[in-house]
Amino acid sequence: MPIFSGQLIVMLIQVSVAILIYFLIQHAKAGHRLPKIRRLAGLDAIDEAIGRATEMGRPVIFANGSNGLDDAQTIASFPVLSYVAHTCARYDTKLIAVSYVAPVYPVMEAIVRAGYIEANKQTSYDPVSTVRFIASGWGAAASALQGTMRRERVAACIYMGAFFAETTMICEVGASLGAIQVAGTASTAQLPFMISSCDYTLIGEEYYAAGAYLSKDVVQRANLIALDYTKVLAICLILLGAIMATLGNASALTSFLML
Amino acid sequence: MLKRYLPFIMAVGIGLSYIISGSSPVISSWKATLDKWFLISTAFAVLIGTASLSQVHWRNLRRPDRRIYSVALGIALYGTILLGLIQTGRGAQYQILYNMTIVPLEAAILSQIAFYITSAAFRVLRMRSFEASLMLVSAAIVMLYNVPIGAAIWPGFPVIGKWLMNIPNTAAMRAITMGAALGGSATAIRIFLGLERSYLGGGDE
Repeated sequence: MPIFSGQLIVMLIQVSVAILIYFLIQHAKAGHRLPKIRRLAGLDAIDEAIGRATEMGRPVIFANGSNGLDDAQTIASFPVLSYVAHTCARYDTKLIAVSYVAPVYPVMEAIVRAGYIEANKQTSYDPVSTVRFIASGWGAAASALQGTMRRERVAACIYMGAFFAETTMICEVGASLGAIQVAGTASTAQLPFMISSCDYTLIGEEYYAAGAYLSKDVVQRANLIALDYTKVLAICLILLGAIMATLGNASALTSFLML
Repeated sequence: MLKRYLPFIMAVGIGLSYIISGSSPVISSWKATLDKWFLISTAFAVLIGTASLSQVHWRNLRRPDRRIYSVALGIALYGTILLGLIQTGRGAQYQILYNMTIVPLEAAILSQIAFYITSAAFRVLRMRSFEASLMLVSAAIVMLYNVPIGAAIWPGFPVIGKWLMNIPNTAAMRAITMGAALGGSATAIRIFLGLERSYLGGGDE
């Protein structure tokens, strides 16, 4: 099949990553030990945050940002929501999952309901108050989130997804309430605000790894490790390019990558 | 079974064919078709979201403590849709409705940010550790670099401020951006391989 100029190496890398993932999954399924994954304090803190909310008898709030289903950040928030819903259901802790994007709302509702069913607590699931569509657009959502957080006196706030100007407002309200706040985003412009106001922040790639990290499933972990190897390859290429550019001879590497 | 696997098969098939269509001229027209499908399916997703939202607020009407909010939402939602259908988005009353409600309300909410940033900055810039002290000094220099009085106090402030913004700040931001891009690709690969299915609405299963 003919290939566009500059796409051959990209396709080869993609195919190699898929083969590597398949190999590591088979390796893990055969019972071999996988390399250890470093601990992500932010994700370990989710249990602590829900535990504290349980002890205080106050709710946990989960928000997944302003973007729709076409954004990988929104998709990456779903496994975390699933985990939070399951854990909250298990401990009978009130969960408020808020959406401010209409197409995301039914998906969140289905995920939270599934979390309650998995925990065998389907009777505790209240479709009206657990998953809420609060507003459309960040401005109205910021206002609604602040109000919800103050009225319900939340004890734990989990923000996962693509956030915009509302970040500072909601994170500062959470901090003023003394809630444990765990955030995760790949929106670089909002990271400083999350880091300054939240107790734990998952930065960029850590956030995307959250789903696989929380699942404890060997296949998911194998996938995460395979993708870490890919990152090592990408870092090596960046270093090689930087060295070759410093030596004034980056054209050979560029020509190879543009095959 | 079909409800579970059909969306998954569609997601994997369309995702993979989209990637291949970006690399090969043989099926490149397929990419344009998929882009059109995406726009159409997004419109349907909004429809599903609106229907689901209406369902929840219809149920709310039975609860006296929530009834008023659901009625307000229903009037705002369906009133705007109706006005938009009659006048289109360029209609005079539709524009007035938007410009007289949404625009000033968003501006009012946005104005809160100044106060929240001040309180966040106060928390971060307290000298509790070596890193926080470093942050305080860097922030002070960058602030002085951005105002004319900085250069008037000492000509070195703009030089150091510019270096802080262009070298350490850019290096860190680029590293985060590259990491996020690789993480985004990792999420896409997980979806294509069927390892990530929570977007189907049924947890990790």
